[in-house]
Amino acid sequence: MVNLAELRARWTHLARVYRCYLWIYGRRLATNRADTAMAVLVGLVSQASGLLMLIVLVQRLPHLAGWDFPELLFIYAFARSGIALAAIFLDSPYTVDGTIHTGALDILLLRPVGSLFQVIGRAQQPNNISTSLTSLGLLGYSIAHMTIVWGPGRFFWLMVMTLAAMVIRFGMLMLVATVCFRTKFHAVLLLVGQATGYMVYPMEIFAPPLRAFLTFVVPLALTSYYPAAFILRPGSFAWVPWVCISAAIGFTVACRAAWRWGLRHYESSGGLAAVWDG
Amino acid sequence: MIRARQLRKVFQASVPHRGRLAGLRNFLAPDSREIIAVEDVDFTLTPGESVGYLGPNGAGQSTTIKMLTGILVPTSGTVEIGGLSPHRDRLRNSRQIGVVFGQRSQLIFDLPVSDSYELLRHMYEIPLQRFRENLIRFGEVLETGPLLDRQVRTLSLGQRMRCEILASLLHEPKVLFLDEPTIGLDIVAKDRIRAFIQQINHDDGVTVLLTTHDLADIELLCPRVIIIDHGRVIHDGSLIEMRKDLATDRLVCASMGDPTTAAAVAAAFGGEAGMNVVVEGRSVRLTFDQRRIGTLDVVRKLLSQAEPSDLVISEESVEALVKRIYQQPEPS
Amino acid sequence: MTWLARMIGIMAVSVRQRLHYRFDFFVTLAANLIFSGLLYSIWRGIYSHQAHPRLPIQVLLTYVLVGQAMNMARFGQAERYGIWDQFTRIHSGDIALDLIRPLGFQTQRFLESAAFFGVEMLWVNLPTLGIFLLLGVSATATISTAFAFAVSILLAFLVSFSINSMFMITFFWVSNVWGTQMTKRLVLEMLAGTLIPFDLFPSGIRWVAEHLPFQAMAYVPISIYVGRITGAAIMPALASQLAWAVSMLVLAAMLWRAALRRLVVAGG
Repeated sequence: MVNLAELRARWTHLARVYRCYLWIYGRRLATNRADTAMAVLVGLVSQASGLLMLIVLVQRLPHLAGWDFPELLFIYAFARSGIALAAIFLDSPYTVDGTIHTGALDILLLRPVGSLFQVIGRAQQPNNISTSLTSLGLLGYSIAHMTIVWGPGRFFWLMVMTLAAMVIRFGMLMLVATVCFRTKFHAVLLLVGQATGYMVYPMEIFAPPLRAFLTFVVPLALTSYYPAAFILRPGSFAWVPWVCISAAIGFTVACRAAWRWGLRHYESSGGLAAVWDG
Repeated sequence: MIRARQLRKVFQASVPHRGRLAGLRNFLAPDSREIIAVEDVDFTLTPGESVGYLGPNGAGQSTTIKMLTGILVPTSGTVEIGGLSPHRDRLRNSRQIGVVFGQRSQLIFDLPVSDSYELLRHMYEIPLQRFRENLIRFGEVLETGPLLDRQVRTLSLGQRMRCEILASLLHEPKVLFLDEPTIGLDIVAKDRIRAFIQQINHDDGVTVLLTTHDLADIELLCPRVIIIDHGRVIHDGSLIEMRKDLATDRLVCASMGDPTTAAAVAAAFGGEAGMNVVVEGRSVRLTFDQRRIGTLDVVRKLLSQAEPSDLVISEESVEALVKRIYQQPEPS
Repeated sequence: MTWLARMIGIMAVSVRQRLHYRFDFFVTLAANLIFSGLLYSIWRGIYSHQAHPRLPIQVLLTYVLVGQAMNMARFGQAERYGIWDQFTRIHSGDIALDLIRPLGFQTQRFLESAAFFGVEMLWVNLPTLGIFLLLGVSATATISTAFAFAVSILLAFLVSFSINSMFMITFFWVSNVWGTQMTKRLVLEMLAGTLIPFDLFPSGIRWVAEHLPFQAMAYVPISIYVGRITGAAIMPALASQLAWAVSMLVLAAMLWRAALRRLVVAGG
């Protein structure tokens, strides 16, 4: 028997704590101004570099794999904004390693809020603020220049798919991070993160085996090209929402299970190094 | 309030490979062996008690504290804090305990102290009125008032530790765990922290379990002491009892007229079993176990040999006592 | 002579330090191959959709893959450790200790970097290039071109060192190491010409890229390799690389001196 009032109280509590995390994030951005400036710079540079590549491609090929420029820009911007938003709000896969090895997890385990929630809540990244804003701008630009009609249905799917893409990406990385609880195999994460930089083009340009690998084994394509393609041409990609949403749910469930498994086997480090940052 | 039964924790320690492709082999198939950190630990704390938990480095105090607070899952045995199991009911249990780790921080490094407290207020759902009252009430003794607006990274260790203690008490826990709260602090900072711990234990009835390497902490704060070594409890009782039972060594220190007399006196005691004799210039120091050799007998014999210009009889210090207990051989 | 011995000593220590992370070199090598594979697929795919390419496909693929093999801005382990080391040294104030060591600060940094460059060359760059050659990337046309390419890579290292060291000056103010590193990497990939050959740039951007120091890090050596710069054009290209290397090294040394003076005066 689920007690509705209790459930609501729990969610309000979490929402309040999360709001406080966002407030702290804002405070940090305002306090460490040089770092924030560097973060904004890196976002702009990475956007410029990605766009340059796209423009070079489009200059040579007005139509790439059957997509015209506004559509290609939409695919690019969808992938980039998903990556950037996930990096801002769901950057924890990259911080788990540090949280564990510095012993900060000990502190998180002492508080009356789930540790996975805290690990997610305290890991916001400044480096993607300008990337996400400019990507959203490009998204708007491409939508305004498209020949197809943008009704409420498309916008609805845009939001759902962005969310699903963020969750899949997060779940995939977090699973790696959690399973590598003890092996310090951080390099894998960096590789996956780096690979996403290439996932902004239509998948048709990749050879079929690589395409299959990126769809079924390391499903980065489910966070970039396929959802964007579905939004533009729902008829030809009808399978996408089913696969994406079930992948998002599957990864979330697997992630929680992995996290619990990790905690049961957690051996807090007895190191003497003082740990800052609660 | 706190009950530990048959508590046991075994770690898997990885043993690094050496030689060719060591890195790769460590990643693929690390070797490991078992290390018993805590073995058959049993104790109970009644509400309002203040207990010192002692042991040499690596004896298992930190591991015990981590099991009592729900960070680690015991390999076997049970823990109960106010009727809750820390690792099973971790979230509920966390509302009734406060924890201070001397080597960990729960404050946000690059922001003012008050920002960290704000986060804790939301986490523990402390009503705003209560929160403000607690900040003032606890802040009085800890003198944290002027520190609230300072960035954590600009605080001295002592200032930071006071803020940490306040952070762990904002939600008014019934039990406070302190793992080496005074490590690395100067005397003034230590005194302030001790006074505060004493106050919340006496006035608010908070149950305190404290680990430390500074025995002055224990002497001032903890009527009861539990000593652990090699993962096992080797003593559990009041500090006074511990003295009575274990501080059996007596030291008789006599100053003589000249070094020759001192040497002669030392020679007279030299052959006696269980007697430790040290000569330093004109003075002789005799250490012995008073259960085996009567103190009075020693003094009588001494006076029969020569007439000392000064005579001091003293008990073993707590420091020396604990050191001696630690040095007992490992039970096989 | 003792000076030389000391220099060699520093380099030997650095080489040993780097070799300690052997496993990381395997990872870097593997990553290098994977990303080169992705890049290869992308270009290949694009070309299959294109009628009149400006660069022949074989030249383009050789260009891009040699660029990946020799990438000086690689997000590799070797670079990360060096940068973190420098960052912690600046933040802990240990950088002041470097000032009182007998050998000049810049010289020390340079020797370390040179040693790392050598190790990375042997463990990552050359093996990668070797694998690409096996996979069908063209070798240089002649032995003398190969020689010119090798010289050009050494000069590219000098430019890369100076740019690296200028980026590290930001650590006096910034602790966002990842951001700094990423900015550097992206700027270099774009403007050094490892990601996209300049020939494919829009003409305005191309003009800018050709007049910045970054092109001396990759565009020149790779162009020599693929034969876009040949014969009589090689010497002037190397000379301009050398000029960039010298002026950038001087500039970096001056900036560091200014930054350190500020540190000493401010008391860190």
